[in-house]
Parts: sequence; C-alpha cells; structure tokens
Amino acid sequence: MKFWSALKRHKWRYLAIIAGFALFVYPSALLIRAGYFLQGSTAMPDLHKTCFRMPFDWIASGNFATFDGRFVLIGFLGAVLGTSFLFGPLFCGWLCPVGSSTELLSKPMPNKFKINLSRKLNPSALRYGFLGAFVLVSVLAAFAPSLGLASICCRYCASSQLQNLVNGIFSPGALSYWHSGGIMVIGGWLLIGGVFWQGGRGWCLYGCPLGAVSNGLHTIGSKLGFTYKVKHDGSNCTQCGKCEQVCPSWAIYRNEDVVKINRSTCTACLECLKVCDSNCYSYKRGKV
Amino acid sequence: MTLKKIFTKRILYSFAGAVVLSGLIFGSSVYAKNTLNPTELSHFFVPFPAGRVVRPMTVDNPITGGSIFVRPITINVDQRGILKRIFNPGVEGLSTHWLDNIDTKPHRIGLKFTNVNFEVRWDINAGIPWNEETRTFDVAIGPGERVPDLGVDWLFFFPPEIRAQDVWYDGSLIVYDADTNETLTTIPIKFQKSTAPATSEGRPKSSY
Repeated sequence: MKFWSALKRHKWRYLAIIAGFALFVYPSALLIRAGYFLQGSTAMPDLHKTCFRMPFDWIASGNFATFDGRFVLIGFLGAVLGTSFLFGPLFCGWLCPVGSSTELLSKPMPNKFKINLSRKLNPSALRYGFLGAFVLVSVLAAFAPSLGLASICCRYCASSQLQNLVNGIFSPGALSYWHSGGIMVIGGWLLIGGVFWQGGRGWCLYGCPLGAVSNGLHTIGSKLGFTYKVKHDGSNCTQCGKCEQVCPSWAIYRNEDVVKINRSTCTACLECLKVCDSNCYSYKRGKV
Repeated sequence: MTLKKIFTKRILYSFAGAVVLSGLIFGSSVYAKNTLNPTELSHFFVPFPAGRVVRPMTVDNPITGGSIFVRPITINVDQRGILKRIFNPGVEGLSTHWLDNIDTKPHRIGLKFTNVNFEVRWDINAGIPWNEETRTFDVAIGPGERVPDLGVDWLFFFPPEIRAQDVWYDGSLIVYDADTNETLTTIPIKFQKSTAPATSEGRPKSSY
C-alpha cells in the first residue's frame, strides 16, 4: 500500500525513472543508440556503454586519450555534472536506472528488515572517503601497474549486472552465466545496498563516483544564490519526521528539532516536498 | 556528552566506515579480477593472421607499429572462484574485444570452434554487421584495423557427464578468411581440472 501511495504521490518522478530506463537500458537505450547511429556503428546499445565510473578512472589516471571520439559519453557527463551544479543531482534522483531500480525494489520491503545507519554514520564522510579511495586506486592502477589494479572498477560494475537482469526479462538465457564478481555485485548492490537498505540507495551513496562528484558540485553550487536547491522553512514544521522517512539518500536529519538538508547526499528527488503536509519544503533559487 | 563531541565521534566512525567499505569493495574486486581473468571469463587478443599459436608470443601489427600478445588458452576450472563453483558451475565463458588484422591486406573473417560436442552460445556485438548463421562478418577488416565496438562472449555449457571428466574441452578457436576459406589463426583452447594429466609444460594451470 505504501509502495503504491509513494508512486501516486510523485508520479512525474516515476515517469522520469521510466524515461531513464528508455534512455539508457537495452532494448531501447535511446541515448546510446543515437550515439551509435551518428557514428554509423551497428553495435548493440546497452547501459554498459554509458559507464558511470570509467571516465573518473580515466581522469584520475591521466588517461585522457580514451575520451577521443566518445562524444555521447562526454556530452552525458557534461550534462550530468552541469545540471548538478545548477539544479542539484537531477540525474541521480530522476533518471539513473541503477539507483532508481534498487530504490523501487526496496519500497515494498518492511522497514524492520532494512539497514539504517543514518543516525550512526555521517553519509558525507563515508561517501567522500570512498571517492578518495576510488581515486587512489585509479592512480595506483595507472602509475604502479605491477599492483595489478587496472580495470578493477569493472569488477564491481552494477550497470552491467542491471543490464544482465533486464536482458533476462526478454531472453532468460541471458541469466545463464554468472562469474564470482557478478554474484558479489548482485549481493552488494541489489540486495545489501538496495532491497535491504533504508531508501534503497546504499550503492549510490557509497559506491558511485559519479554520484559523489555530482553531489560535491551541488554542495558548492547550493551556496550560490542563482542555483536551485531544496529548501526547508521550519516555521510550519510539525516535527512529524515523514520527510526523514521518505528521503532515499539519508539527506534529511534533525539537529535539536531543526531540520537540516545534507547537500552531499541530496539528489533533488523532491520526495520530501511531496510528502510534507505543512508545505515546509520548496525547490527554488536563492541563498539557503 | 556535548553535541560537538557527538558529531566528532560520528565523523570519526564514518571515516573508519569509509576505510572498511573501501577495503571491502576493492578487496572483493581484486578477488573478482583474480578469478575472472584467468579462469571465469578469460579475455584474450585475437590477431590474424597469426598461424597456430602454440605458446604465448607477441606479434607485430606492421601498419600501426604496435604489438599484440596472443596465447593458447588453458582454463583450470578448479581455480575458479568459490561463488562461481557454488552458484554457476556448469557454464564457462571466454571473451574478446580485440580482433585485429595484422596483415597488409583486408580480410572478411569468420570464426569457428573445433571439437565441440556440447552447446556453445555465441554472444557477439560489433560495430560492423555480423552474420549469426554463417558466423562471419559481412564486411572486411582493413589492414592494421580492429573490429570496432566489439564485445564477444562465448558461453560453454558443459553437461554433468563432461564435467565428471578431467578434461572438459580440448579444441581450438579458428579465425579464417570467409572469402578464401584460408585459416588465418588457430588458438588452442582447453578447459580442464587440476587432476588432468600433466603435459611437458607441467601440471595443469590457467594461462594468463
């Protein structure tokens, strides 16, 4: 029941999520398909072709030549990061098929079975701590090849596993092969960080460099008056706590009955705005 | 306890958590990589023409000036990861993204396996048209060029009676010119257990 009421409450967002699947995931994968069409390539487009991690791996390792000719990927990254700065991480909150699929799958799961560390850990520290480790591993992979860390981020690729699962819907044979890394990703991304995670966004928060960089830009952008951001006006707040409950990315917390928004994890999904009966939330320009 | 202390403690816990989390993710990734590449979904280069590849060697691409490493593929199935052995023991995979023409003339190539008596699924995605029925590309690959946007996965479905044997598969991948039928490259492929008979090269182990 809660699942359906959540979908009805914020139907534009869930339609956008469907559009995200249409843009990035095979069999449609319209964005990648358009890129291949422009290049005259007959390759089959799928989610794996718009990797959310490899570009950061290339940048950290100084491997800029790999961007040659990848106009769709460059445009995609520019659009995601630019909108994050100006409007908040809209891609994460509204379009990303990897994060939205686990968020949706976690909704029917009763809360008592979900992991909730939002009051014990600071999500920002955990998130940027992991991003730092990601950059370090990329640098080591490039400049200390004897360590054997090259292409290591491909081994925890949630995108390819999501695409495999979707392929399995259309062709069950696609699910016949699993390697150890793939099985671990299903456990980490889909189960622990997804279905059994409060909000279903565990993998996004702690395993996705694109999400971390997007939120870093949003944190900076939100300090400027001309950018859009979620705001909370406490004058009508009844302290009902509904916003904290529905926030998928653990961005809302209370500090001595004052509601705070953590820009390092807020994905501008606007679930808080839709659930608040007192209209305390708004999404607009201006200083915080 | 003051609010400041609570927050300091929380941040310290969080950074400790980040270290643990990073260790878990990258540690398991290293494990996944060390099982994937040699045994679970071995990725290998396929230059043509390279003749029969009897030992690991490097061949030159005279057009680009680069060199390509090519090797016979030996998979010791006992070296697969524990999760693979538990959850998905009967399906093995091989993969390539690199079909390189190292000749000075173009070749329209075809691919085939020898000595196959079980199901092999071909999952080929390429930037040029591929004919699934004849298993040939429709257009030639120019001298020094590589098949663009290539992703090939071959899945070997080994039935229980074959998995009971020491050697599951002993055959080859053949790259041939689809217009002249000339064999360009032969890469021996073997799937076997640790208990397979030793050869002149020693006990069975995965080539990587």
